[in-house]
Amino acid sequence: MNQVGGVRSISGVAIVGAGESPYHRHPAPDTTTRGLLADAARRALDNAGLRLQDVDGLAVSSFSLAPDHAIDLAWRLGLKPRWLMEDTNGGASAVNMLQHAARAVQAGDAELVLVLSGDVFSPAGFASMVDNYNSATRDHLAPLPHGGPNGLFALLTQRHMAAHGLSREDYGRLVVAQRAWASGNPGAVYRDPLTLADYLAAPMVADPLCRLDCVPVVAGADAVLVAQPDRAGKGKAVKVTSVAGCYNPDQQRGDGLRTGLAEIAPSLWEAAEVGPADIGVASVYDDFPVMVLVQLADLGFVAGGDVGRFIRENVACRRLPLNTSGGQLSAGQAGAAGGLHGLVEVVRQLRGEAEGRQVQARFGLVTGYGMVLYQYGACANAVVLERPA
Amino acid sequence: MKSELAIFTCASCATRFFPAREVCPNCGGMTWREEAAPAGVVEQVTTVRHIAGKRRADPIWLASVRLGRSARDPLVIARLNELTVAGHEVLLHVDEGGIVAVPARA
Repeated sequence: MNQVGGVRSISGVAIVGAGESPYHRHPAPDTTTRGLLADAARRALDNAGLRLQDVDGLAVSSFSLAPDHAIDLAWRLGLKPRWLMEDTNGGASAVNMLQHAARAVQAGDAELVLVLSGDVFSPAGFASMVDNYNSATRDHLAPLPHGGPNGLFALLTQRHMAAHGLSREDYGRLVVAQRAWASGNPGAVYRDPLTLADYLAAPMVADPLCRLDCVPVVAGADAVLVAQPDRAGKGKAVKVTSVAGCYNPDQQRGDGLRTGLAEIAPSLWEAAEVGPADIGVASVYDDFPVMVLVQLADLGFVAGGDVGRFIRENVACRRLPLNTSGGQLSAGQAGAAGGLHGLVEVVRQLRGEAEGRQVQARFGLVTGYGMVLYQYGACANAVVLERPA
Repeated sequence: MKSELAIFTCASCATRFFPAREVCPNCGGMTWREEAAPAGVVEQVTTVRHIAGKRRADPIWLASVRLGRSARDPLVIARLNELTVAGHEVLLHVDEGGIVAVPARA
């Protein structure tokens, strides 16, 4: 096993199935988190041609599964896992669970790991979740009230605008491009075409953020299956080539315009033996447009640091296939499933299963970001995937 | 009830933090002094027009406020009781609604 700058290369591990329980803005009243997770699991297993009885590892992330935990879910799904994990890292949970699952498969601790994430919230449940996200939020932000992360990322976006000389139009170009991708995804909750004028006319939420900069909360769930490549059907194993994470890189003493991805990028690329120019499809965690741009810069996609030019020449014209499902901004954010949604999309693209928005790519990138401690997110991670041979 | 905003200074290296930490990331110290932070400088301001879970809510002004002139000084998120602009000095206190920033008069 080779180790490059703290990132160990991965061999013999693949994603062999992926599925998504359909996203809904207004779910039926009897919708449960457990039911959504079970549905996503069934869809991933059907996608892989495998059965629930084949699963011997389970990882789950969900804000609304409480008071249940991973073992409760295993019980309810009829599983008897010999490897079990529960992740609480929000937007970074998908890549974190994948990293652990890949090592479990590599080490032989499990042969087929089901990675699940999903949520359904009532309006009151969502408000309670954002107000009690952690003790710093509960004690110092919720009493203001801060109204959730929109206000914090409005402040961060202002910093980003000032640092890079950007305007609202620049972020709007990213939002419009993602909506164009969403038009080809029947699973996206918002698919109608969007113009820059529409974006600029949208109601303001927390300036400079308008409604279209903020992810629509949905009910839904996602799932992937991690195993050795031979568990997949012919031409269906998406190879995991490199995965890494970096958490609390700056002790919340920075400005939020640099994530842990900047620290892991060199070793992530070196272990994968590719670079940004080789990436043919990317799901970059998009809780807010600004964070997509920050992460892409951290990973080395923005030549010369000119973010405005990068948007115009790569994002707006869709030269870089970025968040091809529409991302969370158009497809929806199903709570903790935000990261896994991006992973499912890249797996579909690399397997040629993204009908309506299919691109040709050999290598794909998925990032995770999240867990606002006080000012901005402290978790960041990324995985590089390769299409089936 | 109105009280002073307290920040946390490492007794070993004098690095200041908000919110409180258990271990100083600068020197590893675990002993802290609480110190009052009566004023700061506004860095960004936003008007939050939508509060999660509330259909109708009055807009609030949120500001990031630096407790000193250096980028390494602590930054707090405060509610402004009166709209002001970046660069303006504010006086700080804590009430039942959290940290409140009041524009200082010239």
